[in-house]
Amino acid sequence: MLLKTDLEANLPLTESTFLILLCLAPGPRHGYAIMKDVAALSGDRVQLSTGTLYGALKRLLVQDWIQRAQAEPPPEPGARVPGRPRKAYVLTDLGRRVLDAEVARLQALVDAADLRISEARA
Amino acid sequence: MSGGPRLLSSAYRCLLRLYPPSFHAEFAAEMEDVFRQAIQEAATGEAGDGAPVPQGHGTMARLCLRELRDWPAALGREWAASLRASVRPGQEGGIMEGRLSTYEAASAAVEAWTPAPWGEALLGAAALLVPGLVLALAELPALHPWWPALYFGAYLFILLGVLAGWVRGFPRWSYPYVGYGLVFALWLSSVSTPGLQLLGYTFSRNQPWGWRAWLGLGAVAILALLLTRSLRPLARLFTGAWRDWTRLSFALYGGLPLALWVLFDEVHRPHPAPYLIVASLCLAAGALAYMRGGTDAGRLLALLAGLTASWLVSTVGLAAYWHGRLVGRGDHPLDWWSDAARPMAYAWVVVALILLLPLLLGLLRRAVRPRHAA
Repeated sequence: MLLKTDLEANLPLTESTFLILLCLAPGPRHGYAIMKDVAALSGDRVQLSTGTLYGALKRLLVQDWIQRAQAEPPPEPGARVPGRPRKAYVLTDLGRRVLDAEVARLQALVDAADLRISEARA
Repeated sequence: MSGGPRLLSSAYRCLLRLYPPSFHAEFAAEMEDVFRQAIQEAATGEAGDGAPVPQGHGTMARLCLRELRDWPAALGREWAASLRASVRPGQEGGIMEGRLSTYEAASAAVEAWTPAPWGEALLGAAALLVPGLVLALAELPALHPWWPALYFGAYLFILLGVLAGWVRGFPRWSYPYVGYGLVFALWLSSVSTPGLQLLGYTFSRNQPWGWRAWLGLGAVAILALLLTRSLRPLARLFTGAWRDWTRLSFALYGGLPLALWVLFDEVHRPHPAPYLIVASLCLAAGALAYMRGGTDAGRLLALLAGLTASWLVSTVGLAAYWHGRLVGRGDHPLDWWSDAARPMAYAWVVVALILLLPLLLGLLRRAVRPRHAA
């Protein structure tokens, strides 16, 4: 089990990594859904290419922050894009703790910024 | 799927093939599906769930440009990770485990030295024999008019040896091919061949080959990378030399046929031919004894014996040619000892020291190994 200090050694996360982990927080997602969700979360500012997305997914798998979930069934035969069963990814306990730690770090930053700005205004 | 998106998907599939094999096996199918879905949605303006999405050629172009923009960096990252994993096996264990190709699994470990079977030994010796004999035969007046075809034919043989060795993960027989390939390209880069026509290109007077000399090895490298889609063979080439320094000596030994031929540069044809033929046989015998040898010392002695025998034969040839000749404006005839044998003896010492240089690598490895073990 990773200690808190070990978790903090992995922070701060890159923006892409943070957004990917955030996409997976509600539940399993396949690659294309992650790509679209990252764009939506960032207001279209971060648009991942497939190479960047799967490079990041590979590293997250190696770090054991995410794992493969049960494969989603392939799209219906009549669907626009037929294909293979789609592999989905899900956060592991470790990944969730890393995400929580990063959110806490960002929250602490925002709190500190709020405090300083409100002091300046007062 | 209509023509445009299908064509883009095919092109994308080709780009995916340039990723390292382990990454390709793990993710290429998923990546292709994702790309195909994205391009399809951009073409139809409708997401899989029926929701409207941006549509049109502009959207498709942006999607493709984004892929192209990130592709070199992603490719570089994965190849670097693949190389790191090959140098430190197990680093990417887990998801990649069991997915390496048979080729990579076979290349994962440098083989421990055992005397080579005759077939493999002859393959190693051919790297010395073929170019040596071809360079010698080109000194015969009947064959000399075809010297470009002979020289480059021999070089092509060496390049094929490098390619075969690369694809097979640089086994021990391939080291002299690599050595000759590098020495030949290095030498050729400073040589000019005025009037020589090659593939429609004519070399002008005093124009050295320069970078063109490396085109053959460059083509082999590109071809080998496309065939293997892995940097593992290159890592194995270096780890092979690190774990067995005599392989580096063997690679350097591979350049000797060219060195002997250069020694006869100023000698008129066909005088060098018989000496070069015998010297090439001596070098090949040394290589054969190296491949069949059991111990580091025995293998090194085999190389030194091959060098010494070929050097002696060449010294006799040079001394026989130069003794008693008047060269230039000198009014004293040349002497076999001071003008041939003695310089050759000095040159032997230099070449023998070069062959022994990799011994330093062996000593370095011995020095650092206990520290790693600790």
